[in-house]
Amino acid sequence: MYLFIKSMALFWTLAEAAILVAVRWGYVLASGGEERARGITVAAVGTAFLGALLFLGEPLLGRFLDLDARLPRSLYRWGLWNFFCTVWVVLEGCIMIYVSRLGRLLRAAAPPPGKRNAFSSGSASLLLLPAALFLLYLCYQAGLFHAVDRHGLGVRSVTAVSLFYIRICGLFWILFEWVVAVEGIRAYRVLKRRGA
Amino acid sequence: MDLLDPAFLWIAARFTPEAYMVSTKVQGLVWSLADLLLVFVFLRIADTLREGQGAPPIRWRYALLAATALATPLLLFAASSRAILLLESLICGVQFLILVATLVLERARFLGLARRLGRRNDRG
Repeated sequence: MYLFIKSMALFWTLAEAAILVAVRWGYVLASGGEERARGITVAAVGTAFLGALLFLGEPLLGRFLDLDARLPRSLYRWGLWNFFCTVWVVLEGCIMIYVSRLGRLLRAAAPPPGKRNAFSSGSASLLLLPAALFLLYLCYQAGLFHAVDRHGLGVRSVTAVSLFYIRICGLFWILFEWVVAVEGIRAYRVLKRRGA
Repeated sequence: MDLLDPAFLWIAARFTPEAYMVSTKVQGLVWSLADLLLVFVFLRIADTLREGQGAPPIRWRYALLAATALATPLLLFAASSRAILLLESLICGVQFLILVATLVLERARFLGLARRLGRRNDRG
């Protein structure tokens, strides 16, 4: 089952990275630029690194830390799974930003005066959003380790706290995916009205 | 970090497996609805581009999406987190594949649209 979970984690990462690369490519072309394979290269290297982390991280780290005991193994596996949940939130957040920008370009023939999408202003959002999300992950994991150390939390408590983090990620997934869905509807209506 | 300890202790005590199951099912349904909508709209956009070029409409991808829509309510009846994971893997996996397949199969049309937008925005 754990092998299946890791395989699905890699699949979701690959699929979302591919979608992000495609959406970014579309945005670069739609804003008059030319994409040079940088996005594909970054996505490929990043996904390869994450794949190695998924399948080789535990055996490698096991040489330095005792991961045979239940609590450390549980902390490691949940920390890893929550890291990947954070990666998926980051990827979907970036997809949402590019989709919003593409939507704005598509509607550019008659843009409403003075109205800008808060998620599409400059490249700051593409840096701030991942930074904020990874910071959330790091703070949450650090807090969990501190609570385990200070209060002697066991495996069951670690599981409950880690599952709660996944539900926090779920809120972001819901928000980002609904934004993309709404932007998609707006884009479809523009294309139907103007003709593709 | 001491400030966060009460929060983590509260979560450890209160966030039971039952609470996790309920919240997962609720969230799963809400994001699955968004996924269905965005994949459907994406296919509609692809169909609009195909229509403009006289290409036949998409068929099997809509059928696969409909199958995932029928499978989505099964999340409500999942008895364990493992069952939810397997169901979500199947539903989201198929939807992801539809998205990626559409991006690949319709790439020329999407790239053409993006380039037309780029030229129009350059002139504007």
